[in-house]
Amino acid sequence: MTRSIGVRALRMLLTILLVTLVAFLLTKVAYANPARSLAPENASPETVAQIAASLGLDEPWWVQLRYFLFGGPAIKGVRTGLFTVPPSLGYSFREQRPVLDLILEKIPVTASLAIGALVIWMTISILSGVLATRRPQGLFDRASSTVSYALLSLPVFVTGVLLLYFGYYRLTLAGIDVFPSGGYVPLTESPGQWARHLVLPWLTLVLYEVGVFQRVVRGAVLDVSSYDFIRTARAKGAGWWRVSFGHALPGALTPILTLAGIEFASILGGAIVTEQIFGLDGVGRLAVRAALTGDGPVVIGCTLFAAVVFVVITAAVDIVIDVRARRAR
Amino acid sequence: MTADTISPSRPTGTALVLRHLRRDRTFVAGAVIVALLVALALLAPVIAAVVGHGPDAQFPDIAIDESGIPITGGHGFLLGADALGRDVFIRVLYGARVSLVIGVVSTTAAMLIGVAVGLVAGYWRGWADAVLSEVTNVTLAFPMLLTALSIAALNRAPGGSTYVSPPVVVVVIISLFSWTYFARVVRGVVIDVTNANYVKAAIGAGSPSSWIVLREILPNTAPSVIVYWAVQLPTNIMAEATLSYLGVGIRTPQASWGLMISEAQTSGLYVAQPMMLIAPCLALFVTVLGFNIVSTRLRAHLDPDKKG
Repeated sequence: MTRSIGVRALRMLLTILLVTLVAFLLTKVAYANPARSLAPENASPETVAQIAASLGLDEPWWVQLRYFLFGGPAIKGVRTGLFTVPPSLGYSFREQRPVLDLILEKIPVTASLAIGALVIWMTISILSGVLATRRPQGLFDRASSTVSYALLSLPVFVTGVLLLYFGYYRLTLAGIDVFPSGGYVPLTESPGQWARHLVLPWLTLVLYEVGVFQRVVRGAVLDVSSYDFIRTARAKGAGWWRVSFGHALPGALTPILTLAGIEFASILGGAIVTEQIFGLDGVGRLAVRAALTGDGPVVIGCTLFAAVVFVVITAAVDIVIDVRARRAR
Repeated sequence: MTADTISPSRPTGTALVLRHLRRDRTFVAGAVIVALLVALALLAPVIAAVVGHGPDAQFPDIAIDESGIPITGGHGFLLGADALGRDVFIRVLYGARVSLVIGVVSTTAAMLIGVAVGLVAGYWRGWADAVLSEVTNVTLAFPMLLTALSIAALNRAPGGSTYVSPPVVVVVIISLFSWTYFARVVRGVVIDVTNANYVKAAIGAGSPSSWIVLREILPNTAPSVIVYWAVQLPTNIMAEATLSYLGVGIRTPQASWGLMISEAQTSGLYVAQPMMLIAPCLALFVTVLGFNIVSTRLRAHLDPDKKG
């Protein structure tokens, strides 16, 4: 167990290192001359070269990579070096702030969005997915599967745009001012306002994910329902609810948890579309702004953040599944 | 007797599957949607010629009223006009061409990459498998949209033009992020099949590896690969629309549903001319729905592991 976790941790580290390398190179090529975009419109080439030299941007890429990983000259008093203590993701020339601070400050927004959506979509999917197995091909099963197909066929940005149109614009026009058009209020400031601002973004993600999960839950529960332990439970006189939610669902959790981990991690890494539509100032919006303005260090930082979130969460889910399997044996 | 004739999946298998599919009403409904869509996409230039509105032609005089609001219908504009006085209906038809071509090309490219990776990883195992599985991990961990934004920045030439045609970039981005699925499926099938007796026989008979992989193993991956191609296609169509919506995909004046939705939203004119927003949304929804139905039913009939 400890050994397999050790091996897994090493592989995770390798994956993250490779992502860093690729993101670093891609960013270096994509935003070829950050000094140029930092300098004033009509700056002379000498001024641009001066800016580049003062920020260490005139070094060859491998030297810059070394700076990025193990630390180099401090930029405006901000250390660099991912593998120093405490780690640093460098300095955002645009925002004039350390990249790590920028990302950390946006995490509560993206996390509120991702965790709330996860709780809602899993509740709906599990309830409707398990209920659909009560009478396969019955009325509820067929209706819920039709709805799932429809939801699965709506891209997130379409749902978001339509929800904004109907949930905000049309309602406000009708004098019903329930949902704001966007923005974020911290949970600590006002839980009510926090939820009110997040309902439409949550719904945007939930509608798509229910389309994905409802059928997965149904399929996984149906798969185990012919196993002996389910027949035993039934033979002992347990009712349908008890058998389904107490025996079949726990036995069917592996594929559900795996997929939930992947979807949740992708959203937590930056829900670019949803954050953009509803003006939520999270990690995704930070990344978009950085990519559009050519803020290379922030793009690398956001890519790395998304990769770490993905790798850590999927690994954590794998470990949970392993532990459950071991305990069951 | 060659391996082909004792392979259980064809040719009788294909006929059997087709017969089952013809009787599957859900599948037929999905197939009709897809067929109509392909027909409309193919006929788009003909319809445009009949109506007399090109996809990029602007009619500010007749299609935009005195207060600058696009008309909602009339004058031969079935679904009204957009902010520039272009025909929304014709642009939706042309958007279908973009969606289908980019969807099909990127899914096929992803399939080719994935099948190659899956064959190598599954047959040779060892270090090749280890390296390729690490490449897969890195790909999965990479955030697609953010990387697409960087690549779009890379493609931005001075003066607002681009170095590489945007549709090509979109295809490259989407296929680079969707091959992993194929690789995993093919690798699994290859590992199963390599243990089958007829493959062991071919290895024992001294056939060269390339012959075994291409002639004995590759055909066995076909059913799974076809199913996953169909599963991936609607996802990739949505990806194209999303990239174009975010402004890093198809560029104006070319018509793409994602771009049309974004234009409607930024101009705000959909409030007065809802079809600017509703028509491309509906077109995208129906398209993805049609392909989702077809692929799910295809999977139920073809994929041995998936029933129902």
